[in-house]
Amino acid sequence: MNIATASHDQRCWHYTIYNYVTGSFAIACNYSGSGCKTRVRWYGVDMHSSEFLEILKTRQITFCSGVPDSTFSSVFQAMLDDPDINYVNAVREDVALGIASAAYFKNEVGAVIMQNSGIGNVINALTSFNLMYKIPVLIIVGWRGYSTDAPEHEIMGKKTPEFFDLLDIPYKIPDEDNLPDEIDELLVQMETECIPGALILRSGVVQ
Amino acid sequence: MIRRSDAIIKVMESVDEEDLVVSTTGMISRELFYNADRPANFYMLGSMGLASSLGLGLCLKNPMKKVFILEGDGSSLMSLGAIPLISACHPNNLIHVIFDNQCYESTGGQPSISVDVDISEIARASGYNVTCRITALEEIDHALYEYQNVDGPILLLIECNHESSHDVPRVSHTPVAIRDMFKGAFNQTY
Repeated sequence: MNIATASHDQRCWHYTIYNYVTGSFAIACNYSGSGCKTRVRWYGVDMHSSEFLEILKTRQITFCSGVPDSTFSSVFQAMLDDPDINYVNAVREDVALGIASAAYFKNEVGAVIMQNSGIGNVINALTSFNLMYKIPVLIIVGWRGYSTDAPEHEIMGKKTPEFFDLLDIPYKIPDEDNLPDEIDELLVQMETECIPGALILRSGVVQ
Repeated sequence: MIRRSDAIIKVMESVDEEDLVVSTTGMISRELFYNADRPANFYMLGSMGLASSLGLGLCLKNPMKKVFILEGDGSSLMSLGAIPLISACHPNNLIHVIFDNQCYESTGGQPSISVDVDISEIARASGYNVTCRITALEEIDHALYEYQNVDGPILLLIECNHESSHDVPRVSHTPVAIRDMFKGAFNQTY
């Protein structure tokens, strides 16, 4: 990582940070209006939504349901537009989980895609349905509140992996470069143990 | 007024061998198990409100089979958003049966808001192809016969009394056994 450019004045500053390994860069800034909080946003060679869908499709994951999240907002439209993906535009995360779980009966793995705020809405369905009946489903979670974010994401942002730890649900927190390997490891564990698994995506990993 | 277990028996008389049934948690699953156990029944032992979502998913994954969702007023109200979602997905193989006794009978008969709200009107406004409200036992098989070749989603709201079921055993199959028997029935072709 290198700090390539910087500027200061009395009211605000910003740095541009390059990561020469991934080719991505971030802008870190602190504006007087932001309550003295530093904001960092990464740009660069994030995985494109179409690449992400290819990763799912090549693993026979084509039945998906969810509730949109800005962490990977373009993925939802890509799912709706892709003729090989059957995406059900659900109204709640637990409803999406019920729908996607039906894929199991056809010897497939369904996927739920949602924001981490929806974890609260799926706990009961996970404990008394997916875990109890041993019905695997891939839960793709956008990690709001991983870094500085809106106040409503702060608590769930800190606790997101802990919920899955608590439920003994395996999860991966991949980068864009190891995402295919991480998803493969997760799918093997899900299939072996017949349980759901979570892919927790930080902002910028898939755009 | 109709006794719910009689209504369940009547509905199951109109269910063909290859049809799939998903029943909600509590007494509805227990009465279904006691009166009409079969491999193609998925007893949703927990997850109140989830039966309609799973039923919708099953319809989409297996459009060649009819899927009956059996639930109560309480569970349908819990996932009320699933009703317009079902309508928006146009599953022509979905038959949604709500046994409306206007209370949470499985937990002791506490009143539900269906006393004041007509859930069949919610389904109608959401765009279900057919909705009907049934008040007499003999209307059940008439309605299911009349609609057997009509595209879904179809909603039958059956008004039931508060009579609680005594001595109806719990579903004795393990959850994994329910899953595996149902999976076999799901993939069975006739």
